Formats: sequence, C-alpha cells, structure tokens
Amino acid sequence: MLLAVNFLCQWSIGSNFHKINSMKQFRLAFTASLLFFIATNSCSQKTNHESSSVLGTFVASTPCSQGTRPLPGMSVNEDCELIKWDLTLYQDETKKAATSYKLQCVYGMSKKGTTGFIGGGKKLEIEGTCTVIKGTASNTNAVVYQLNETKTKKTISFLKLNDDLLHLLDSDLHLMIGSAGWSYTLNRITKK
Amino acid sequence: MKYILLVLITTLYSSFLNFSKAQTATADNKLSQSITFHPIPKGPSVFGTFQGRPPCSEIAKQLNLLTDADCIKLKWSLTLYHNPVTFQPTTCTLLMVGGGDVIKQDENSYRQKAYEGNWAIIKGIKSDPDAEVYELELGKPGAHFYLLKGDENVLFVLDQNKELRVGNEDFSYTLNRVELVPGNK
Repeated sequence: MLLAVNFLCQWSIGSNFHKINSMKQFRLAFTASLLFFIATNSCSQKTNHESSSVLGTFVASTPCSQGTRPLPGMSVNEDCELIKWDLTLYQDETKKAATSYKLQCVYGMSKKGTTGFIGGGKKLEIEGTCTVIKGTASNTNAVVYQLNETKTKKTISFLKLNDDLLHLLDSDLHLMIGSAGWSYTLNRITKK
Repeated sequence: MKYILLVLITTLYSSFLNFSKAQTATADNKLSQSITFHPIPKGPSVFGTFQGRPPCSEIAKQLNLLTDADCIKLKWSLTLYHNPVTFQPTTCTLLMVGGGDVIKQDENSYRQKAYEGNWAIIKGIKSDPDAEVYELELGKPGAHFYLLKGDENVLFVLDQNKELRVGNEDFSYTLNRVELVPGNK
C-alpha cells in the first residue's frame, strides 16, 4: 500500500506526471492501487492453532483514553474509556512455549452503574504470533510475552507476573498505569 | 487536476494511518487524575496515593467487613507517607468504599471503612526473593496487607501467603498511583 501511495506521489509531484496524458491511464493506476490496498488488508493470514493447545485465557477490564489505545485497529476518532479483553494464548504441544494468540476485545464508553458499555461497545478481533523475551524497563529477568499482530505487524507486550496474571506494558516496556477504576492486569480464567 | 489527485492521495493515506495505532507510547502512559471530595494530602511527607477496585469477597472476608449482597468490588484509596528526610516509610491511611459502616448522604447511602496504620518495605515473595513488598499494618484484625511493588506507580495486592491474587474480567488486585484533584461541591 505504501509503495502504491509513494508511486502516486511521485507521479503527481515528480517529472513523470507530464508523461501521463489521459484520464484513462490515471483511472487505471488509481483502481489498481485501490485493489492492491483492499487485497492486502482483506487477506488475513490466519495463524494456525491446529497444532497448538491452549496455554491459557486471560480477561480484564482496562482503561482507554485518547492517548492510550493499546491495540492496532482501534479507531482514534471514537470515544473510549473502557476495554474488555479476552486473550487466548496458544502453546506448542511439545515445547509448551507460547507461540500464537487470539484476542477479542470490546471497547467504548462504559454504562454507569454497570460493567457494560453504552450501545454495546465496538468489537475488535486480532490474532498473530507470540514470542517470549526477557526483560522490562525495571526488571531484566522478567518474562515478557510479545504479541505480533498478523496484518499490521504491530506489537503489544505483556509482563508475565505469574502463570495466572499478565500486565500490559507500554512501548518502552514500563508497566501501564491504570486509573482509580480500572487496571491493566489480565487474569486467567477457566473457560467452560 | 493536480489538486484532485492530491486530495485523493491525502484521503487514502490518512485512512490508512487511522487503521492501526501502535502500542501506547511511554509519554502517554501517565498518572490519571482522580476526583476526591476529601482533603488532598500534600507536602514532602506524602509518598503517594494509590487507588484501585479489587474484587469484593476475599478482602471483605479477610477484614470481616460487612458488605451488601451485591458487593462485587471494593474501592481502595491508599495514601502512603514517608519521612521527608530519610524517605523511610512511616504511616498510611486506607479508605475502603463498598464495605463497612453505612454512611448516609442526601437520599443515598453507601458503606465505608477507614483504616490508619504503619507500613514498611520488606523483601521477597515465594517466586522472587528480591521482590520489593510493602507491608501494611492497619491496627485492626485481619487488616494486614502485602503489596508487591510492580514499579513506582503500580502495586499488586497479595494474599496472606504473599502470593499474587487473581481477579476477574471486571476487577483486578492492582492499585495505581493517581493524582488527586478536588471535586466541585
């Protein structure tokens, strides 16, 4: 997509523009770029969970604000104060190491007096691979799960507090600071 | 013609940029403001105020706290004080809303319990002998808590065996440093 846009930019600004002598050629190039954009964003590379087992499912209600939209795919234009997370980590059957994940979230404005959302909230689903690295900003021995999103290649990282608790990290691997109402700690649950 | 092309490119590019946003930048990971109608602790003896909403039942049981049947969380506001010269821990106050005595306000009522005591810094939990732990002694039966220091701004409420407690989809055993701001009465 970036290549297509870059090409169009050069086209309009650079010396090549004078060579385009008809609207027909422009329409063709634009349509090709648009189709390329749609194709690269529609074809999700599904992560294969078939050879994996579930390492654990972790849930949480965390804050959300204009500056803290920790997930790729969250629109910056929508109001948000709460995110509900449902994160499943998968592990390699033999090595028992985390290898991939599926994350389902609902985000939006909270409904006062309840744990739900105004208007039901907006759903977001992402998946990808999971790698394990060592070290946070304050602890070089800490175990960190790095979730790599398949489409955008963006990363979100969690500190592994223990087998039952994860805590979201910022881009410099500091613990995310919650609010009076919600924190950034994810809790393991047993799914029925 | 050039103008139309520029508009098209700008629209396409900006819609692409909106689609995905990176992990929260450190600059945006900051203390949240918390409105309070109580006097705000100030001065060099204030170490910090930490707030959070742990699930209700375990803590209420530990403290032998009266709660309503629909209690799902307890609102904690913990202020830690230290010696401004030596920086050693001194006293602390813990205000818990959601359990305890009934307080009537206008036409509404709620439950609240206030504790005062001392705190100290100790080392070690089962899984990490070097972990820094804040030990609160609040002077009432059961009112003894261990808090694992995640970092300067995040604390985790441990159980009586100094092990991490597991929350649920709505509430966690995590306290966050906040900036107290006065509410308008």
